[in-house]
Amino acid sequence: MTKALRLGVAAAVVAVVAGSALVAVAQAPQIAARQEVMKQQGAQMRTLTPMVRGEQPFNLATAKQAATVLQTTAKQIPGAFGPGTEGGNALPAIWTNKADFDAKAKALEDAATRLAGAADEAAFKAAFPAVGQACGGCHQPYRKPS
Amino acid sequence: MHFTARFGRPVVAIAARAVLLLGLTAGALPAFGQAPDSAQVQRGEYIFHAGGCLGCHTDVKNNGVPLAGGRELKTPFGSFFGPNITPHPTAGIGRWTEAQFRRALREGLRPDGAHYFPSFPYTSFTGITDADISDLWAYLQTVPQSAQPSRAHELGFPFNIRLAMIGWKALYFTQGPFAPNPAASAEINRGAYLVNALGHCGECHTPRNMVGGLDRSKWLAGGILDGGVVPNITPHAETGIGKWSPGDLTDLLKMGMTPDGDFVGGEMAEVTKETAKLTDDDVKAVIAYLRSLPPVNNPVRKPKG
Repeated sequence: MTKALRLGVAAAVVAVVAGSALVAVAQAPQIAARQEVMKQQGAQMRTLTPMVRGEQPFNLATAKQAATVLQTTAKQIPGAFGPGTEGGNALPAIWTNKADFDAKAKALEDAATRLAGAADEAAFKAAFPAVGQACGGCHQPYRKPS
Repeated sequence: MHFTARFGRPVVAIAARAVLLLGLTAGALPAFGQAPDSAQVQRGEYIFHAGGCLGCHTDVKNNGVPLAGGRELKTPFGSFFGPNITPHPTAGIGRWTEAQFRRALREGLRPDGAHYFPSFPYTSFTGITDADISDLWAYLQTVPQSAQPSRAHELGFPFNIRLAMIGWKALYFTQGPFAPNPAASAEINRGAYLVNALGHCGECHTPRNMVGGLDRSKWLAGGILDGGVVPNITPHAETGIGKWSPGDLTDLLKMGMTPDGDFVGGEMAEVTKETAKLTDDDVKAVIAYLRSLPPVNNPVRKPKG
């Protein structure tokens, strides 16, 4: 995927989520939209993992761009789990502990921000595990196991 | 995996009594001034995380006191609640001896001689070495006490009959400790010990029969637990982890990330929080062992409805 296309996809995702937050849409579209956000984040992780592992040449520009998408999509998370949109793989605990859930989304955003701001390969690799911990730290209490 | 050493019961009973007696004698000596060996406590803490003790003995969901018990384990036989294992003298295990603790793990017996239900995975923990049990015991002495009473299990008839465990054990329990496979490398044996004894991975990743016995012909080949899919972790290409690279498996154990960039949720996320604390060598050993297993073709799908 080219940079332009990737940015386009990211923008589309942002638009979908923002749109669904503005318009009081039915539950199902919002579930689909947030699943799209999560898929988009997974795609960034797939881009980054081989580079971080050293299985592919490290390209700082590509890596930082993926980190920026993670940062942007992380900001969409609180709104993507709006009131009355329970369902999918999301556990009901999200809506009973919304403040904690939002704080965990913010933790991801902060980790992704640090990642996007990494000055070089070493700094990027050092900042990467925190992003994974933020993903896992939220999935543990709030996402169905399978 | 099978524990190759299988002793006759009288021998075990005599040995257990001897150990118990020694333990009691040792326990009667003045304990004051015996500062716990800090290196041993540290080793014990590592064992504690590798053994994944926290998850079942803590009400994680409700921010419960660590190891004070209360976590519900839903099974087809009823609900089990992990007890308080803090060193509190009455609510926890503060009055136990190390020998009683060893007997609990190795033989699945309470200090009063009653049988544990296999919700306490002594079927795996029986493989833990004496040295690791001693270290774990030393560590457990150092955790803060909690007076929270343990909650009784909620089991339907006939699964609530503890005495029936004698028959269950005769069928499904092989006493350890873990015996290394002489044909396998030291790394694979270390991995087998971590996966099968300490990590007790098979307790969830191996399917069970009608009465809760593990189906050893499908060791680690996955199944359905509490309505959810537990994946096949044998190296079968289509239904297991055969296509996962060592890097994929490392990221799962260290971060909880799957090859598609997703992150595991629920119980497995609790597990990966603990496996993240394993040393790099131990992670490699776990992976080497899993990849050495016979691939089992066992597609696991969510039941309909």
